[in-house]
Amino acid sequence: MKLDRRNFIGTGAAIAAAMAAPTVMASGKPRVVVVGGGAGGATAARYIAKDSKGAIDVTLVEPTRNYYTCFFSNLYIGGFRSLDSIGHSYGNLATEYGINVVHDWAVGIDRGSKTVSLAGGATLNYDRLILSPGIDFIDGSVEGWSINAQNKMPHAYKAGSQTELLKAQIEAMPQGGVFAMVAPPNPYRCPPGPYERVSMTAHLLKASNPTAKIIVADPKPKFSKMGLFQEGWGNHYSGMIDWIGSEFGGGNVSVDPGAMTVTIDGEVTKVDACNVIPAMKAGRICEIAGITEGNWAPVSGHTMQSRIDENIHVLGDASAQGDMPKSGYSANSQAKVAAMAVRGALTGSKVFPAKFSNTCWSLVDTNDGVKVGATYEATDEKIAKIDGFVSKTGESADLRKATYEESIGWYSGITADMFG
Amino acid sequence: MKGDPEYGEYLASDCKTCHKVKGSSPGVPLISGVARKDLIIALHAYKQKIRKNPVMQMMANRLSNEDIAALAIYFEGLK
Repeated sequence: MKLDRRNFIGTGAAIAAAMAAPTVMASGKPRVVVVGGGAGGATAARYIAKDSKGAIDVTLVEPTRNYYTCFFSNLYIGGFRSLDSIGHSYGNLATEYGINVVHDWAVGIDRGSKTVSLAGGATLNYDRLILSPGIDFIDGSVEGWSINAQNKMPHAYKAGSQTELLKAQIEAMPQGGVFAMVAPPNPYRCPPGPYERVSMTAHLLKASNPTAKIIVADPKPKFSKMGLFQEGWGNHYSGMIDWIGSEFGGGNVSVDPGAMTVTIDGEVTKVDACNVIPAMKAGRICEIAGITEGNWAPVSGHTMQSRIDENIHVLGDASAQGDMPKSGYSANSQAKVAAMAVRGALTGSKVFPAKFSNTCWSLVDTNDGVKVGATYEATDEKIAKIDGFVSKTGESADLRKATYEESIGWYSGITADMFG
Repeated sequence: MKGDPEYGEYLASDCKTCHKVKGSSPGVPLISGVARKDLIIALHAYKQKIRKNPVMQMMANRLSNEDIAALAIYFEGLK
């Protein structure tokens, strides 16, 4: 599919193509539009383009020109990865796979005419639409916090400049200062994410600001890999981290970004850095498309098709994904099922029964990695867990190091899977 | 048992997230181009919990003999 520039440019074909109306598809091929170029969308676009061998026209709509993965962004906070190392360009998808990468926002979907409207004004036609827009925050879910406050108290839950900001704020804390996190209620993107972040923040502070304190206000009574994180916090960051769960008032929280205070169950604490992670819902384009029920988009696990519109597939965080957690790994796994289903529907290619898997790795401290994972199958009711595993407390240092190294291999693999 | 490479290719999409088609990483070995019988032995060893990695044990656990044969022939053929 690689374009041969020397032959293409300057020939009659190039001139004719440039003069053709933008929405005319001269080839008559079936068209797929993918909205969202993250772990779900980029993977789906690549697999459809690659496996259809050019039989399907694929357009990928993604606003960022360089994609910073949310997964491993905590490792950047902790100083284990550079920001550049978690940034990826879409150049390969355009060049190697012939995907029409459009850096724009989808702002409207007309399911009747099967079109997507972009912020820049253009309209895309689709035969099948894949929505993988990630999450958006629920307004007002943390009292005192809004988008206006995200510079003072970053969410850093969509990676990139927000992550840079949070890391800089942690590094700028005065000696003995206080870092607070307001953790989100279930369900949310990346269940262990906030706690890996706490670990990485503690790791940073231990070296440069050992008397600093970390407070976590959590509306939940427990969290993913809780025993493992608490073991690690005790081993590596003893006395530094105070986790306040729902039983201790952690759900009764308000923040004041102007005064830089956090009030937990009536008690006001002055903070020097504050990470507010609000409650989440499906990326708003799903709501605009009219395919959500409550906060998420219901899907059939067999094909990841929306239960409301069979021409639309929803992947990743935005979907109501049954037993699967909202993770990058899950989105990538679901993307392959959706890609296979879309190709089958549009070109008659073979479709095998859907299978899914997920593994979430978290880094607690240097060479101390833990993981949780499972395999899944599609039932008519939901995507259902088959089998799973989780790291155990008391594991050897060697095993924890191997677990961490596995995650590095996974990161390299999934980003190759997404971006080519 | 002779494996079906097309079925193997489908099953392999799950594997490729960690085991890249080209190249290996510290925690994740290269499996492209590996001799069929070696992959079959390895997957059965994970399935029977002789080999220890829990991610691989879980992945291998849901593969039938036919699935393992298909995967082995597919990966052997990858250069």
